[in-house]
Amino acid sequence: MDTLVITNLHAGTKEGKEILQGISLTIKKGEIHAIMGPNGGGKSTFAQVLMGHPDYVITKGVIRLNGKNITMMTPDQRAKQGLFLGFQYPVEIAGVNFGNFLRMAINEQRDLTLGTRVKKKVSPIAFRNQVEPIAKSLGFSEEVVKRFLNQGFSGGEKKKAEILQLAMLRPDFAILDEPDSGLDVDALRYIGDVIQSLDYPFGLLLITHYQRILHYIKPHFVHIVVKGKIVKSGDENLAKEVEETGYEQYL
Amino acid sequence: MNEIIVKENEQLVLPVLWTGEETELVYTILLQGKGASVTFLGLLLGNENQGLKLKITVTHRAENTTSNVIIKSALADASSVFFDGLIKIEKGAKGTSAWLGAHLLLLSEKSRGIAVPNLEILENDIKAGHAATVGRINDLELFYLMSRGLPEGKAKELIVEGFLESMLKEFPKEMNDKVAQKFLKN
Repeated sequence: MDTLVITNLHAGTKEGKEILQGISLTIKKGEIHAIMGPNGGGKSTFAQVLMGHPDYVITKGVIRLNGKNITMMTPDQRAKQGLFLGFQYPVEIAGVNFGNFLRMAINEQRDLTLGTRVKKKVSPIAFRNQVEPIAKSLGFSEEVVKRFLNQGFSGGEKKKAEILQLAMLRPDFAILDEPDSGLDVDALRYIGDVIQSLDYPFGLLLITHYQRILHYIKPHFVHIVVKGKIVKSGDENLAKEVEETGYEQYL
Repeated sequence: MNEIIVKENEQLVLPVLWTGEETELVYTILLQGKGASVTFLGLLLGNENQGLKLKITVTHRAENTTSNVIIKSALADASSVFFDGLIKIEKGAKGTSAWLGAHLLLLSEKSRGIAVPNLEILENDIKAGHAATVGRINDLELFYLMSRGLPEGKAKELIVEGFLESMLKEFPKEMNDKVAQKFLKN
């Protein structure tokens, strides 16, 4: 319990191209794991496969969340079990009000969830009161939830809006897929601050190409993924090491 | 067949909601007087075996006339829409502005939609444009909403409502109620 356990995960495209070639990883609540690696190594695929992306097929291995086998679950079922994915490229949904959608998502998850999360449905007023301070600490005006979901958001706004959703949904385990790409230093700090301010234990899997974000979100563990496998694991110092020496030695 | 003549400086808004009763609708709109303007909003919702042929012809005959034709359609089950839109701008209709947009969303494998926008322009001093799309619900949009815990059905409903949103807010309330009923049926 209280873990996300990935065992010997193999996955690929529907066309049969294998991308993940046996990833095993255990994340406990309260831990921050960073996944680093060269482009095309399978980092983002790993994130998307964990959430149940329709373009990929799991061919071998098991994903267990809080003891439950979620390997074959649909994305919404995984979310209800307490998993969250912050997208590398958040999707624009025309005509869908951000706030209404987010409140709907929170209420949808309240039916089943256990443990750290509250089970009561959230009213529009309670929702507003919760969202305002988080929006503010991300440098958003509270008006952000009145906009259409990601539509017309700048690159940075989209990334911050993912963190806003994370903070409101309070998942047991969050995967953030390159939350730092395209962000300036201020936005990075906002994101780091909000993640650190979450006052409950959750596990974080942070996928990044650069070490920069790790100044704002300090990982307990760093894993290097190359060609669909974890080739090396270590602590924070591993991130500094690859920043200096590059990934070539692992290729 | 509906023939509509718009007179000098008249501004006409025409909201049309189709929920499956008719099989053919024809609108012929003539912008006859200077400064006449028409906004045609077509909301087409089909399910089961419902099918519609919609033909709209807008003729700009006078100076400074404006037309805005916007069609949005959501098609479930084996329903279908064939839309044929024609904007004619006659010689002498200077300063005319015309837009024709048609967007059809197919909600099932069996639903079908065709949109054919045409412009026939005999005057140079005008602005005119058209856009037509026929498509299905995007897998990535669906994955995104589901990843936040919405079941597939609710996620699809939200995408369809979002797709129709810009049109719905232009419609009178009783039409909105009818749309809501249609959604529940699907």
